Amino acid sequence: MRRSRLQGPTPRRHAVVTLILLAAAACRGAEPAPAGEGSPASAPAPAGQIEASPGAAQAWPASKVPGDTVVAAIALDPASLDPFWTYEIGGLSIDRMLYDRLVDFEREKPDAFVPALATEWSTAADGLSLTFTIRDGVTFHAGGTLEPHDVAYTYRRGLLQDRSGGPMWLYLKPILGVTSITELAASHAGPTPAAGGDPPALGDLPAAARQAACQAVQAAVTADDAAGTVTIRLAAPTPWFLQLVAMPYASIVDQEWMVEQGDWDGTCTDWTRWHDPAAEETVLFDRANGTGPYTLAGWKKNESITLEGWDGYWRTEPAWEGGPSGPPRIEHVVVQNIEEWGTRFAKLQSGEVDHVYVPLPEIDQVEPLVHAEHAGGDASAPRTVVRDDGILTLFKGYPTATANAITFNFAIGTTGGNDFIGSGRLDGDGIPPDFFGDLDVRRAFVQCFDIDAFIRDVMRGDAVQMRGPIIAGLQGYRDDSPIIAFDIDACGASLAKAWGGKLPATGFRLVAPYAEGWTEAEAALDILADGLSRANPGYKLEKVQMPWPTLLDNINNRRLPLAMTGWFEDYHDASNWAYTYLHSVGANSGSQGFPPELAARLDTLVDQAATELDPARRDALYAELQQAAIDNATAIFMNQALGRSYWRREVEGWYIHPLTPGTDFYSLSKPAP
Amino acid sequence: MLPYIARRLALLPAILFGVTALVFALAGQLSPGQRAALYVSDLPRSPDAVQRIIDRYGLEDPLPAQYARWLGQLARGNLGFSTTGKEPVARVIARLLPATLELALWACLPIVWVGVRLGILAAVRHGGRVDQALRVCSTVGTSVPLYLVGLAAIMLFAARLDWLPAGDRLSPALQIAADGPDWRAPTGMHTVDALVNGRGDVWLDAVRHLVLPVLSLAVVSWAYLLRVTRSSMLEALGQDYVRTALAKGVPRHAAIHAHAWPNARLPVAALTGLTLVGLLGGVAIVETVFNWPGLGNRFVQAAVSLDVVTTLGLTLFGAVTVVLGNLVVDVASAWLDPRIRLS
Repeated sequence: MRRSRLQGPTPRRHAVVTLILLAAAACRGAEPAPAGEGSPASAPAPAGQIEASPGAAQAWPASKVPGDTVVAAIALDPASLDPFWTYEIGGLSIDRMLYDRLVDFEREKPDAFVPALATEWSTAADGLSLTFTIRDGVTFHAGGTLEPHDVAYTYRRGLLQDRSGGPMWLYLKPILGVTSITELAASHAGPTPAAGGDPPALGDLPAAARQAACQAVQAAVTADDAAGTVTIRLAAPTPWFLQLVAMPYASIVDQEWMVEQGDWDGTCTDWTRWHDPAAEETVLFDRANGTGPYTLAGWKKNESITLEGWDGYWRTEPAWEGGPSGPPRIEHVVVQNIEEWGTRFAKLQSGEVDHVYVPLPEIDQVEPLVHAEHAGGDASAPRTVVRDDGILTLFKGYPTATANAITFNFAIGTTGGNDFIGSGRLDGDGIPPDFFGDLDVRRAFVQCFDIDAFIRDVMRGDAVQMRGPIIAGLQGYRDDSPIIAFDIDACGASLAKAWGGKLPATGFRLVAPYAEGWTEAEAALDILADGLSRANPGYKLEKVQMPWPTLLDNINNRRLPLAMTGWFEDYHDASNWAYTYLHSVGANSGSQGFPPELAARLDTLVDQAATELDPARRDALYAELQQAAIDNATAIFMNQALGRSYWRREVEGWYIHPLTPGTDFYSLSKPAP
Repeated sequence: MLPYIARRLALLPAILFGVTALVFALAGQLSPGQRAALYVSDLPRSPDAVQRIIDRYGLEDPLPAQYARWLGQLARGNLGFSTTGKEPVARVIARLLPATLELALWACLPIVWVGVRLGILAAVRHGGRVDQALRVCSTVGTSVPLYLVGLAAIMLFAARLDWLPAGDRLSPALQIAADGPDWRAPTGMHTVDALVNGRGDVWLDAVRHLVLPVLSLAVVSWAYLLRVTRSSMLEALGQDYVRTALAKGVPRHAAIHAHAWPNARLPVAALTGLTLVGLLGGVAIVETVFNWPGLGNRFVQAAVSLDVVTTLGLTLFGAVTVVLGNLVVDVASAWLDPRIRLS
């Protein structure tokens, strides 16, 4: 997650499987409704509830999951349970239940906070430090007592661990002003290597520089056990820093226990031993000792994770009105990793699970099981009863923090050859490597993409159109900002203008790869290819499916002319989106090869907006960036996804938090019928 | 016979060397960048991220050097760490083998018993309606894809009729019990361990979870065994000694079972042995469809993810299983048919 997603979901199986499942569902649909059913729900609807005509009633098997247990069948398994190592949904969704943070999000809100392991906190007037008062009387699952030095150790360990490709850049940047611990050490080692040279490895730097880096980390996060406080100093004001404090990455661990298990001892003596480890090399890879509402009962790799409710949970008062407190009401949680959709669906039908992950192409199969729909991300959203005897509650239409875009490569790599650009010339059988350097070409590709068709037919309506890289609800977003609209004629005109007017005569051909199994990407490329061919039959875009290793190899060599990417935000702030899609080292834009003048302008704006504290000026800067992305047509900004989630009717208390992955099992319950 | 067995076992290292070298050679066809994908699950954040992975795991080293490194590790009794399995390869095998073994052992009962009985029946009723029907069944059985049989079984018996569970080895509540600290698991096979723990409910639940995967496997494997048994029995029934026995007044039942079957069973025994060896190697499709945590599923995941270390470890284990399995089949054949000399 938290990455530009080029990989698709688990590949779908053979079409025959789908046919079988559809046939089975159809058979059920053909069953006659029991006497007295088939009429609107007999019970009166609660306030705010809309009654619809129920469909044919079914006799679905009763739930086989005990009332104190929740079983969720998804298609994910964590890469690691170490909170500071993992950077994917699988691990974070479990960690959020095993550990606590200093502060929590207030239920579903991404920018409101409630006390957790910190009872209170304050930010310095200059915005450059935060001080947290640590809660008394909290014990870890293994018996240790929470103290401020545990908090400081946790942050320091994470920063120094800084595994390659991990989440620590999110914290390093605001706390120390660097994106990696190696960069920090290098800054203490004197002049940096000449431009174009390889960045130094940590081990190649002088011992004094490594020592200085560790000491800088120690100084940035300090604890005062006597006063019961922890202070985090920031390199620059960071408006979204509390969001990072509330994210599962910042889960607090017990220093004494960690050292006993053989992890970092907290000193700068030989800290590099624990730097950038492989997943299995950290103590917390498949063990946990947090303060969260659940303990880790077992992780059968690639199969399932079992959590057990912890009777000693410290929370005695609800964090928000109506929120949970005390030991978890759901005592056992089993999260199964079942990649085969047919198996997940069968388990749902037979009552063996409470929740399944349903891929978009399969939602029609699940519809006959739905009892009621909520038009939003929790039970307070308007409710419509669909079928009297359905077994599921569906939550749908809530905004998610994920979006899709098709990015253009301004400087396509040709080292070792590049079949994606054909002949490499404008001869009708290829494109030159700088094809997308022409603004008219980029504008034309945006104009040829039928976004409405994509949202309607591919996303099944579960999406809204983007108006640039920044999603709705964030600074810089305007409901009425200009965008490049779908218009085949305008697309043809733009391409007729591009490249000195040669394209209508020569035509062009390029190949766009996508990761196998990612059906949305395949469909998007089909829509784009169709638009281009309608503008001129000589404009050919071919798609090709690729296994991830081959695709990665081509990405690494910058051979892709264009690529569909997804993004799940790291924190709910415009800076995350602007950096990702517009900065010259952003996760997506970093491989687009913007020309120097454009890159310099965008970088300046992105950096300036990120540290701007005045909300109005900040909003204006992000609006300028949003517009710059459209004016320069840096990508086809496609859609922000809307979510949907299916749960057994027996389960209550579910809500979605747009930023935190997974389910808050602590809030769930199964009231007795 | 002992020298024969010793010679066969002496060949084992050479076979294992050849098999693993082949896997390595195949992996060598991929670029280091492609192999790095195992460790980079999404778009790399920095330009040097993939190169750092390549350097860290030595993916640019000459292939013989990488192979020698793996062999050196193997010599120290270390099969390496499985990136896709997220645990050492040896632990992957130790943890998943009981599930595969349990499935294979339970599956072999109906496969052998039903397949052989139906094969004999078809041969005895050669040309009749029963024979025709069984031939059609066997053709269908060998033609229908296993995943189709499995999913159809799930949809019918689990989702529609609600008679049997759709997958897994145990129901969630009992699985929690079986994962608990008080549970004794000397074999890792739930149907055995449940008896050791005196838990009839767990045993029954485990058997219920076995029914559909076993039936799915059996439907396909029955067909093969039926066809081999039928043709083998037909050949035996046409032999002079069977006709002579019948002419001398030996009852038909005795002629079939005491005269024809002992001579027809040799190829049947060989196929049975090989079927079991195949099942032990893991049945990836059935394991995937029924969410059965076995070796076959893991092997496929490792192969498609280009997890060379895991693929090598499981290939090694599979090769040992096949070689030893074939050896057992050869010895059993000699025991069944004294005309065979293992020299």
